[in-house]
Amino acid sequence: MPELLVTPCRSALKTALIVAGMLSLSLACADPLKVCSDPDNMPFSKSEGSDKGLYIELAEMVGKRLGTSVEYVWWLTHNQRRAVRNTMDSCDAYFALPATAEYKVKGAEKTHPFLDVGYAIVGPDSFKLSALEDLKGKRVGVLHGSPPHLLLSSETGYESRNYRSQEEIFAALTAGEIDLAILWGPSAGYENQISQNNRWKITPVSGHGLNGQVAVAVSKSKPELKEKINQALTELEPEIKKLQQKYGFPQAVPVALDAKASWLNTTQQVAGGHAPAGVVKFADKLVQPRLSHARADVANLRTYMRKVADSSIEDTKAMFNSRCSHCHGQNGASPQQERDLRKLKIRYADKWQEVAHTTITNGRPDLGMPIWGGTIPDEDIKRIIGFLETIQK
Amino acid sequence: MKLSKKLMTAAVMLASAQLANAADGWGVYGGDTGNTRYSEAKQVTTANVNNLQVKWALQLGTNRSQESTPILVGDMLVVTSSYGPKNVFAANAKTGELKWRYSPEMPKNVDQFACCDVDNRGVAHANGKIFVGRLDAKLTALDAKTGKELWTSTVVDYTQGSAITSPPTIAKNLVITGYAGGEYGVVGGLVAYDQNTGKEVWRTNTVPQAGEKNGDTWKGDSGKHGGGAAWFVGSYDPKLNLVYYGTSNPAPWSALVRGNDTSEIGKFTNLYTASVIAMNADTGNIQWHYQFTPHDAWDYDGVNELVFADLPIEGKTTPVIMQANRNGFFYVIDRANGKLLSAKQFVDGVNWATGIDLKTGSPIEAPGNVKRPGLKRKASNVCPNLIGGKNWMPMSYNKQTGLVYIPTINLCMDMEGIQEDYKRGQFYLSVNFDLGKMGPGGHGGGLKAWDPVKQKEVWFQKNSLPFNGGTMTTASGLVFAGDIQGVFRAFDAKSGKILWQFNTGSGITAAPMTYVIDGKQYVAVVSGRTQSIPAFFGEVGEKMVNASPEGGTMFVFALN
Repeated sequence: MPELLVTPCRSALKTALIVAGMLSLSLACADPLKVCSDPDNMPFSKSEGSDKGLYIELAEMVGKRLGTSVEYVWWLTHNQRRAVRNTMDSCDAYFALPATAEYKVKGAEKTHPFLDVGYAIVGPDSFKLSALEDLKGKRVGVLHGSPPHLLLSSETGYESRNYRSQEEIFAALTAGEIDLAILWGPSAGYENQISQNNRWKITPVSGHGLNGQVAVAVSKSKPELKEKINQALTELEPEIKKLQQKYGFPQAVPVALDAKASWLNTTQQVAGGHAPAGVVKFADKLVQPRLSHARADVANLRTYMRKVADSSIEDTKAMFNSRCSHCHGQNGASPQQERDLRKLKIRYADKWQEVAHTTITNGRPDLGMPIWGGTIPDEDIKRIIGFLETIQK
Repeated sequence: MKLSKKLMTAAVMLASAQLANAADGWGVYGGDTGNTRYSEAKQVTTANVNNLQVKWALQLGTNRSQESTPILVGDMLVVTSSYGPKNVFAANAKTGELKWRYSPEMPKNVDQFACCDVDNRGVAHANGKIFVGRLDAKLTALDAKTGKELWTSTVVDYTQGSAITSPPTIAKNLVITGYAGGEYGVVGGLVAYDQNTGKEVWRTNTVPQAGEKNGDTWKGDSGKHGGGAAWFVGSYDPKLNLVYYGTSNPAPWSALVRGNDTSEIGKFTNLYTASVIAMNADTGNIQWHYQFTPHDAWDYDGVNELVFADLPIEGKTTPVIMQANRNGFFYVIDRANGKLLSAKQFVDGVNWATGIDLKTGSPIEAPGNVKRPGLKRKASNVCPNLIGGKNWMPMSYNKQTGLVYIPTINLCMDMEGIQEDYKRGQFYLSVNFDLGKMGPGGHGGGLKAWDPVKQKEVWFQKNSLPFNGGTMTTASGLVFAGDIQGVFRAFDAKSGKILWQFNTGSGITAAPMTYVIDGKQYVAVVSGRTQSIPAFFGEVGEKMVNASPEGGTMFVFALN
C-alpha cells in the first residue's frame, strides 16, 4: 500500500535522516515537493484509489529521500505539451517525461532516465516473436494512428486492424477478431494483470519510434533539486524494479522490430507513459487546467460527514454565511452558475463531497477560490460540507 | 372563405418560408439557407453609413472566442456566447432588453474534447423553436417565446472527441446537425431530428465503411476511424430538397495509414473527407459528392460554408455552390449535380497544386511530392498553411455587385508526415511544424472582393494579422467586417474603400448581420477575440493575442 499522500513533515524527515542523512531540515520542511502528474493515467499515475501508479509511488519515495512531503498538481494530459507548459510554473518536478534531449521542456531540466518503456506484442502463449516478419499473415490490432499502425501500414504483407482504445483491442483478442496486438507495453501489462488474468503473453519490442526512456523533469528555478532527485532515483533502482513488477510492466529484453527501411525519421519521441498524446496534431489544443492540489486524505470523509451533518447545522450555516457568502451567495445560492453551491451534487454526483473538501482545502487560485486549508480547521471544513449537504438540489 | 384547406396551408407555408428568409430580416445563421449573408436592407447606404452609432450592447458573459452570428426571431435577437454555449440570450431587437436566457449545465471536462476552442456560432429557428448545438455533443430545442428547454438529444458521445459548435440546418420538419472530431479519429456524420420530438430520423456517416459504396477508397480498415467531420454549418436548397455539408480532413493525419502517401493517389482518395456532400433532406442519402482535396495530407478541411448563387455559366444561369476552400482554391460547383464548373486560386502563393483539372475535378499537385508532406518527407513553404486561405469565418455574396467578400488568410507552413496518437500513456511525437510563416507580401490576410464568374480579385484590403472576421453585405452596396484588432468596418462593396469604423475593444472573428424592424435598419456584430488559434502560430500568434484583449460583447448599430 502506498502511504497517504501527505506525509507528515516530521516523520518524513526522520526517515530521510536515517536513509539519506543529507538534508537541510528547515528548508525541506518549509517546502513540500510539488509534483505534477496526470490524475488518471494508470499504471503511471492516479489521484485516487489504492493503487497510485508507478510514478506516484516513486514520487513518494523520492520525497522521503529528500525529507519532504509531496504535494500534487494534477493535470490531465490529453495534450501533453500544453499540460507541461501550464504546470511547470506551479510544480517542482514533472513525473515523468521522455528522456530524449529532443523533447525539450521550457523552464525545466531532466534527470537521468530511470525507466525503459516501449510497445509490446500481445498474443497467445504459443506465439513466438523473433522479427517483424513473424507478424505476416496475422491480423494485428493496433491503436488508430499509433506508431505500430504506421509501421504495419508502411510495409506490404501486413494486415492491421485499428481501434481507438486498448479495451477494444483486448475485447477483439478475446473474441478472436484479431490474432495479435501491438500495444503500449506498460499499459498492456497492467491490463493483462488486473483484468485479463495474465492470460496473454506480452513481448516487449524495440525499434524506431517504438521504445525509449523516461526521466523526471525538474524546474530550473530549483537548481539544487535536480541532483537530489537524480541521486534518489539511483538509490531507488531496486524499488523501481519492484514497482515495474507490481504494475505488470514487461521487463524482458525487447525484440528488435525494425522494418527493412527505417520507416520513420527522427522527429519522434517517447513519452513515458504518462502522457501524451493527445492529439498532437496541433501542439497546443485543448485541455483547460484541472488543477487540484489534492491531498487525498478524504477516504473516510463521507462516513465522517454523516456524523457531523446532524449537529449544529445552524451554527455551520452562520459560519458559511460569514465566510463564504460574499462569493457564493447567502446560503450558497449564487446566481452565478459556477459558484452556485446548490448544484454540487448535480455536477459531481457521488464525488461531490470529496471535490468540495479538496477545493475548500486547496483552493482554486486560478479561479478566485482562496485556499482555506490552514485557515479554517479541517473539522470546520467538514462541517461546512455537512451544511452544503442540506442545500443540494 | 373560399380558399381550400390545402391552398391555405400552402399559403401559410409560403408565408413562413418568406419570413424565415425575409429579404431584410435575418432568420438563419448565414442570412438565408444558402449562406449568402446578403441583405436587401437599404436604409444604411454608402452615403450615410458614417453616421452609424451604437444603439445598444449585450455582454455575453464569457470572455473568449466569440463566434456567434445572432438571428432575428420575431422582434427578438437570439445570440449565443462561447463556452457551451454558456448562454443563449433573447433580447428585444430594438432596445436590447433581455427576454430570456438559457444556460445549459456543461460537463466540466468538455473543453479537452473540443479541438479548437470552446466556441459556439449561434442558433437555428423554426416553428417557434430555437435549436442549439452544444459542446457536449447534444442538440437542444428551446421554446422561442420563453427559452424553456423542450427537448435535448445526444448526437454522439462527446468524450470520443466530438463537440458541436455550429447551428444546425433546418429542412422542412427536420433539424440537422453535424459534429466535430476529425482530430480524434471519429467518423463524421450528419444526424436529422424531428423538430417537435427530438427523435432521430436519419443518420448519415461521411465515411463509407468496407463493403459500402466507396468504402474501397480507404486502405485496409483505416476508414473505420476516418474523420470527415461536418463541424461547420450546412446549406439547404428547398427546391432541390438537398442539404449540403462540407467535411473535415481525414484521420489519422498520417496519410500512409489511409493510402499511398504520395500524389499517385490511386483509388485511396479517402471519401467523403475534405469534400462537399449533397444529401436528400428526407432520407439523408448522399445524392452526390465532390472531393476538394483527395487523400489529404495538409489538414485542408473542406468544411467552409457553401454559398448559393445563380451565376451565368456559359451563357446560362446556373444554380451553384461557391466555396473558398482552405486549400486556397475558390470552387464553383453545380448545385444540382456536383459538377465542378470552375476553380481558381483566390489567395496568392498557393503552391501545393498548380490548378484543378476541370475534367476530372482533381487537383494538379506540385510534381515530385515536393509540397505533399509524407512520412520521412518534409514539405517546406507549403501555402496555404493548415488553417487555409480561408478558415471558417464566413464570406458573403452580393447579388447586386456579383462579388464574394472573403476574409482571407496569408500564411504558409513547413510540415512533415506525422503520426498522432490521442491515447494518453503512449507515444508523444514531437513534431514541430512551423505554421506561422507569413505568405507572399508579408501581410497576415485581409478582406478580398472576388468575382466568382471571372474567378478574379476585384479589390483587397490587407491586414497585418491573420484570422479576421466574417463578412456581411447589403443591397445598398456595403460590406461589413471586423478584424482581429477589434475594429468593425463598413466598406464600399464596389471599391473596398473604408467608409466607417468602430473599435469594439476586442478582436472580431464572428460574422455580422443586419435586420430591419419597424422601418429601422440595425447592424449587429459580436466581438471577443479568438483564444486558442493564436497558440498555433508562434510569433504571429503572440501578435494576435496582443492585438486586443479577450472579450464578449454584442454591439448593435443604427442610424440616428
